[in-house]
Amino acid sequence: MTSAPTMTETELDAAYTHLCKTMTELGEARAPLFLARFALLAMVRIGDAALVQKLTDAAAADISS
Amino acid sequence: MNRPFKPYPFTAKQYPASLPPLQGGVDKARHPVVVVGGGPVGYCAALGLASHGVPVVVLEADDSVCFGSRAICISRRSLEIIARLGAVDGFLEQGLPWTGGRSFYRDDEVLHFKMLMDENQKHPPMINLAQYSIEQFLLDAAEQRSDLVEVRWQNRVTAIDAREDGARLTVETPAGAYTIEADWVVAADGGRSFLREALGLKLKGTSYEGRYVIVDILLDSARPAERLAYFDPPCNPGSTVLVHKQPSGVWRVDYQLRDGEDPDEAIKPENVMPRVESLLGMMGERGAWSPVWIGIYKANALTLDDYRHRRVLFAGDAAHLLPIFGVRGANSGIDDADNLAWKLAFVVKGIASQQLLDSYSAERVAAARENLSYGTKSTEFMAPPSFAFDLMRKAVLGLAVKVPELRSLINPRQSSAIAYTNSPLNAAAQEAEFGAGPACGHVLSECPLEMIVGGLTRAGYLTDLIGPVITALYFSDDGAVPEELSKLDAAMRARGVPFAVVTLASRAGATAAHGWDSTGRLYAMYDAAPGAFYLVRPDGHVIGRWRRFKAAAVTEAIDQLLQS
Repeated sequence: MTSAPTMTETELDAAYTHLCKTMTELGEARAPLFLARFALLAMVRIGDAALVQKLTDAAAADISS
Repeated sequence: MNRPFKPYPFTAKQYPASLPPLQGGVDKARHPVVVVGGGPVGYCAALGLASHGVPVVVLEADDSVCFGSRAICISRRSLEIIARLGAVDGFLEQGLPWTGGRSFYRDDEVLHFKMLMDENQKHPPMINLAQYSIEQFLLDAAEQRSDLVEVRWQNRVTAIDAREDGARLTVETPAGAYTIEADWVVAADGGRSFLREALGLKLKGTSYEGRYVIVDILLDSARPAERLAYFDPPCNPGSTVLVHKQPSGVWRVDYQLRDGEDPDEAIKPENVMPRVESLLGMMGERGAWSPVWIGIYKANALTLDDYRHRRVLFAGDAAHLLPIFGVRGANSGIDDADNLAWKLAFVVKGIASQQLLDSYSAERVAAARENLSYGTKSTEFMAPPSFAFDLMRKAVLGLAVKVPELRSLINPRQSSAIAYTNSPLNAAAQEAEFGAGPACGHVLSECPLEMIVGGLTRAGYLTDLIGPVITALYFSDDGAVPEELSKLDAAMRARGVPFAVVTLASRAGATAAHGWDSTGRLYAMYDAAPGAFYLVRPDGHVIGRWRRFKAAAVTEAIDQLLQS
């Protein structure tokens, strides 16, 4: 999978925690909408239609409950 | 299913209550240092003080070393400290070394992590050893130092009068009560510290709700020692399970309680046994097994804001409670003791001002905060505190096989040596001019070398050359040191400052040196051309470093430390 400018492990860790905390504050009911909005923002920022499609497929592949 | 319990493969010696000679109910002697708590931290503090020639009384409430499943992982940094305290042999003989671990999500291995283990290291990154053995080996070393360390068993502190110039402790024993006067008190009395309570001090931070059941079992298995983590395993869906091998056939199994599960019910043997049985089945372990111990654990991430209160110095769990994940509890406590011992010894001996002890608090509170930030991250992954952390963890675990960039989020962030980057004791010196090597505030990087003793050489390591003194590490060409350095050495000795010049040589045959760079890696690792100089604290942290030795600058750094 392509991953252009990479984050350091520490940066990824901080980004992950920030996202978890933000979602916690919004509450479970609003979590799907929050993640959908995040996906849209990431999509336009990625700016590469083929890549976005690939990422969408990768996110869906082998998804379990 | 009910299986009979078996005892631990360890018999603790029981010690009678001891009373000192009394006068009117008061210990006849006033003591420079009393350590409250005979655990790993208390013993390390006592051994450290003794290595500086300071007599210590250790008050222990129980009649033996601890019982049950407590600390089990000792880090490389802790081994380095314990080696300096002269107690490491038993740890290395009995402890099980390990260098990494595996994490599984359902049926897939999603992470295989390795800790630093290269040809430069003296000790493994981690060993597993039960806390009763940890305490026993330290106690054995303390008994070797009975000239300076007195352990009083069944001595429970029940009151403290903490003053500006010392403290008076009330001690109750089965043989009667007494009071004891001390110039300094080290509070190493554990997570439920009486002294912390008595002084009205409060730990601050976060307590987590997620609970883990901790089970020790005896199991015949040749499986190697490594950290095993199972997320949502087929044997226990929805749970997280950790497995650690300990010496003498003891295995430690930790598993997370499901949401809404009643802790009191969960630890009943009839509920624990089937879970262990199905875990062992999943792991393919077919050997006979017996339960030994069952307990419950809840993660805390808490610390005091200040570890010095007048003449009382807090260390270990009495000062901070760190989550189990990342094994920072006992290891950070041992680091506390190592940091405190030399500073307290210098103050007791009148070599340094009391301000040096404020640097103990500043450095170790900063270390606790760093440990807490790692420990919190580990806990948020191992015991997700909200639906969001739980959902994101599921996403990480499910993607990690295909997306290696995500695997670092699963890494348990095991304890490692902490740098005192902002310590008031650091000398900025010529820091910017070094391209490699331990910066000021950091611990020495390990490297093998040939030690030179009485003209003979033998294999050793750099840290073997660090004693209970301020070490002047001089990187020479052939073992010759500048006259200015010899003068500084004499001046420090004249002032009574524990100080030693340790000379390294870049080539063989330098009989005046203490060690030579037989691997050819040491000088490069320290970015040291002949003439370079590192000033090192008794706890192995670098005070400052210079491209070339400068007597005035080094004297200033030492003066700053002693008067800090």
